[in-house]
Amino acid sequence: MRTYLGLMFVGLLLLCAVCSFLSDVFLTWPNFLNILTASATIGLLAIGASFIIGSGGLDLSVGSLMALSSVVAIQFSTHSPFPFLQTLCLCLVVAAVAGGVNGFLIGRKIPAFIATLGMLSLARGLALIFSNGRPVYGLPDSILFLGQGRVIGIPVPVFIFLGIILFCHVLLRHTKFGRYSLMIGDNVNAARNAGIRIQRHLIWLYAFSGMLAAVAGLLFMGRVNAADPNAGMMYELTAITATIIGGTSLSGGKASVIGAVLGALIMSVLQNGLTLVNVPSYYQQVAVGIVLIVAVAFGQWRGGHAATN
Amino acid sequence: MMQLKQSFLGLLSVAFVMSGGIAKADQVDIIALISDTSNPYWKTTEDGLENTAKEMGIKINVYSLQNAADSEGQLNQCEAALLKNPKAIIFSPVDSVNLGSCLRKATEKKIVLVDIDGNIDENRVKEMGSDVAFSVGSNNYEIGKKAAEYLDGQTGKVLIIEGPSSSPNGLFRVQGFQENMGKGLTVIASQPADWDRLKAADITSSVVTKNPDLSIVFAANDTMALGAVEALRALNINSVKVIGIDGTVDAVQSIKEGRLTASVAQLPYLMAKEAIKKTDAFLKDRKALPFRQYVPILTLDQAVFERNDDPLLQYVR
Repeated sequence: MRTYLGLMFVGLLLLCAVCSFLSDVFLTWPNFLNILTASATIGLLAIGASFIIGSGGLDLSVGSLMALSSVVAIQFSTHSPFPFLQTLCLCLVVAAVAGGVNGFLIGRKIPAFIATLGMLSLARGLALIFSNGRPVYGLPDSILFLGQGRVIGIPVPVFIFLGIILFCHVLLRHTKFGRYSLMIGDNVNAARNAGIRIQRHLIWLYAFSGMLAAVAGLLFMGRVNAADPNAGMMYELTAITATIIGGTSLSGGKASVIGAVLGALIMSVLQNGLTLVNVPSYYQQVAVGIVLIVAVAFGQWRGGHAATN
Repeated sequence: MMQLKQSFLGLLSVAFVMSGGIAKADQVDIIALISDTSNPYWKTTEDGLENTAKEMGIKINVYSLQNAADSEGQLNQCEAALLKNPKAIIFSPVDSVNLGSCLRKATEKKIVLVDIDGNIDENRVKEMGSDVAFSVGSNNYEIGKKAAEYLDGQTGKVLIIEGPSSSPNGLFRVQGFQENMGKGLTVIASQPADWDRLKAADITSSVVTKNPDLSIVFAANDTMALGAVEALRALNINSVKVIGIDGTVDAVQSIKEGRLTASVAQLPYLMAKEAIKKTDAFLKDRKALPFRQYVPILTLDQAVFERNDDPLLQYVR
């Protein structure tokens, strides 16, 4: 895993090197901040995905939960005396409850793929119902600050992203929550025998994934200045792609927050670099597909990608 | 680890050598941000932008989306565009506010902003602190009016198939049609089919079954009009006239085959051409234009194709 992450980092640097040869703008401080800001939403979802996939599961509902939580939160807090606090809490609670339902179902033997696929559709539908199918404009300034504000010249989403990376890294490596998640992914029966209460843990785990989606939703709406029922469409797949590029195995038991972040950065650099070099968007999709396959194949060849061990 | 370093250095030097032959892609006059080019309307717009710029010796980058609803992706493209310091940005936003923060920064950097396709609200943009020079697009009210004028002097029952209730363009088209409809026509039903072919077909079947003397179907875009055409053919009804909007490739084909009666064509290629020309002129003389710059529209039917003399026909794809 270490070796693989090292390789990924080298790959990322190489990608940056190529981009900076092709565009003078690429290797500038403002563009660096652009890339970090752009990778925050997918990065947060990818971190969630690394916990979930590490536990042997899958969460396809995160993109829809971004939309649902932000739409519901804004609809119910526009006239509140504390719009910021209320939006924040509602966002987290809505997504945590929906995620908790995912975890509950998965604990009762519904395959994660099916439970969260159902939630993907259900949550998107609810988001469209609550918003009447239209984006809600006119957000409180405090929410705009989350997406567009700057502190000492650095965009706020970057601080939030870094904070959550640190928090989740510690959570995965140094707490029971993280260890249990990976043990469940490694061998459910062994985990049960070791005394882990699987059903309860899964509820917390998927609620946690939902809450990360809610934070991604907050950043999204702050950036585009609208709570959009169509927000985050297909983001779940981009996040899973980033997580796998980052070395997490689909068969569970291994995961890395740093890997997921590296994966998200690679996707973000690709998108940014190819845009600056004016490569048409069709080719950008081709590039992402190639990177995913090459990353896993290279990992197998050099050893260390968890997907192939 | 040694091997790793070597392969990295090797690749790096290959990249160096390769980059020697490649011109940097940074110098650019105009950057255009448009929607999803898997939609023929936007593909034609992209072609129009690139070809016109090429003819006029203008360097242009066109950034398109993979998904028409990707408001964050478009914002990321806009932020990247700012760093290249173009003289102008031509944009068609995913929704009316998603580019707000980026357009504000562009205004601060004195980049000229031009809206294409006419979906933004002048006042809202001003409120958000950005300065858009003008907006090039079709007048959707006028499009509906043209369709009504095409039916001038006719009598009978009319079915209107609307776009989704969330689309201002769809609403303006229907409004333009209804307010200019001849006295002999009566609307017996007006229902939204959300730009969807099948929904439009279903609505048409049920309405015509209930009203066998239906004489006209007006649909707010061609996709829905073609749905209506198919539904009528399936019921073996040939007496109903169907009018659509857009002038898409499918619709043109259907008109030539004598199935669709007419379509009020928007001309995205011309829209793109006008956008480039007007932006270029504005960059040179800075002469303020009225905010709404309307692109001509053209009613297509079999007679128009047979005469084949309208100069605007060259822009029909």
